[in-house]
Amino acid sequence: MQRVWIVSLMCLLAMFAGGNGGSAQTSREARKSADQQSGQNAGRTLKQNPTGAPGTEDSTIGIVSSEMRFGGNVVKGAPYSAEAITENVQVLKDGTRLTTKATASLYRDGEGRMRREQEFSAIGPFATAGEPVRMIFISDPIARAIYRLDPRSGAAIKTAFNSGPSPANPNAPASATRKIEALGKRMIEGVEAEGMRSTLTIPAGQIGNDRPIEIVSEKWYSRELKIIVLSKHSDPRLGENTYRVINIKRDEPEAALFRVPADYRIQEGNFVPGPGYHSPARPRKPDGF
Amino acid sequence: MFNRRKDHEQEDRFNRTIQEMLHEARMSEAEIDGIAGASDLYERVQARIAAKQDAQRVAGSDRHGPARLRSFFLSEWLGSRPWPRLVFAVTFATLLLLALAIPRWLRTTPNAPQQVAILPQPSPTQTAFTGEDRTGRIAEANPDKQTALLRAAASGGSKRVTGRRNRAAEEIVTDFIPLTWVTEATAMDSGQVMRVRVPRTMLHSIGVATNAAGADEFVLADLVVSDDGLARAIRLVN
Repeated sequence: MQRVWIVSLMCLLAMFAGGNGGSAQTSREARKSADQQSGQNAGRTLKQNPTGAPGTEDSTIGIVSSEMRFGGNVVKGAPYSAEAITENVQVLKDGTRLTTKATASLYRDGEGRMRREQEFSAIGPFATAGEPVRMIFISDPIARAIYRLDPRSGAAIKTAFNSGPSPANPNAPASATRKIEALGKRMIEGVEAEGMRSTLTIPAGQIGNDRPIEIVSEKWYSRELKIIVLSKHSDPRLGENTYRVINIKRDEPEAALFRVPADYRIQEGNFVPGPGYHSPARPRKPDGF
Repeated sequence: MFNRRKDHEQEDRFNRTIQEMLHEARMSEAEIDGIAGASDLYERVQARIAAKQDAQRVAGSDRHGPARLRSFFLSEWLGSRPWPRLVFAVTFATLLLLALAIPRWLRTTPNAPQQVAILPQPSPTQTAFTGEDRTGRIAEANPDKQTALLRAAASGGSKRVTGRRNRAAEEIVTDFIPLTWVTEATAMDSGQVMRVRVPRTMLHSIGVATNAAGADEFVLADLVVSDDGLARAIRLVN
């Protein structure tokens, strides 16, 4: 009887200790694992450009994963394949010019399925220090699923199809003045595109600025393909971001591009919206678009 | 003393049980003596006991290491020696309590304070390229975010559990902080949210300052990146 009591007591204590210490250990291991991941993936780290502030040290950010995709209209009957180039140019106070570049391959079939192969060599002003991270997204509105393929691990993360808005509210402060102007039509990469420019002006003193800040965005939209073929965004704080779609081909891409390869293992993934998830009304298309 | 009393109790119980069995069997004393006095009874009982012990030994040898160890631990070691048993239990319990108490004590010990603070408003002479300027933007644009950041990024603070199905870990996430603004007319409405590890030094450059002690540490964050490559917003995780 005494033995039973002792054994029970030990089991109870061991369970309590295991449960309590386990969680701490888990978080510690997760942190360690993430740190190791950052270290091991030195080639996948992004190097932040000096923002021009004197004494600012270089630092890196590492891509952990892609959590979710948002937006994107389902367009049927307009297949294409193309390449997209994103370039960010930032000019520092001393005149130094910093340029980052990222590329992507785009495919869309007649049913509206999308495939996006993206090399994250830069996110905005944060440039690649090593090898770019390659991500492949297959968006299948028919199956109501989005797959993120990871060529390194052979995993296909499946999430629910989401054509909702961006989780971050893009709207500028109410105090900012907006000016929108039509730029007419022009041919870009063999397709006709309509241009629109918006200028956001943040008044002086609004955000600590001693003079007005102008953020200029320009978008060239193809009605035929229903995609943006050229966009420019100029913000004095981040530099100038240019997005161009080139080598547009109107053929139907191979069907296999929109299927998860057989050697990939499909895993369920989900995104935690959190308290900061904004669900504003879907941005409406500007007049004339 | 406790063991001696226990032995007496067991002996009494055994005698009572024997008496009850004899009563139920309705056997006379002579019959019982006859059976007990049989010449080969002792040898037969000894043989059966030996066979049973052999069978147990064979079964025990088939067990793997942990099972054998457990068997020895429970039956041989703990079962035969009361004092080591007590000492072991007390030592084990003490070690467990220490193992429980030390991590808690470390967690509550104020080491390097980990907190996120919004930088003060810049002076009017600062240019638009400095991090302070961005901070000012954030602070001015949405004062609620300051509170959210301070509350959420402070270590050991109240946690908001936002985990679902696959994400068992508790996550603290702040509101999204805009990095730039676009108008609805020119915004690209597709993109993705990327989980990144951001050094605190970078947080400083986008307007979220941390204490210098943890400058070399990484912080998890979610970046909203539209398909045109524009980093639109960031939020801190944990």
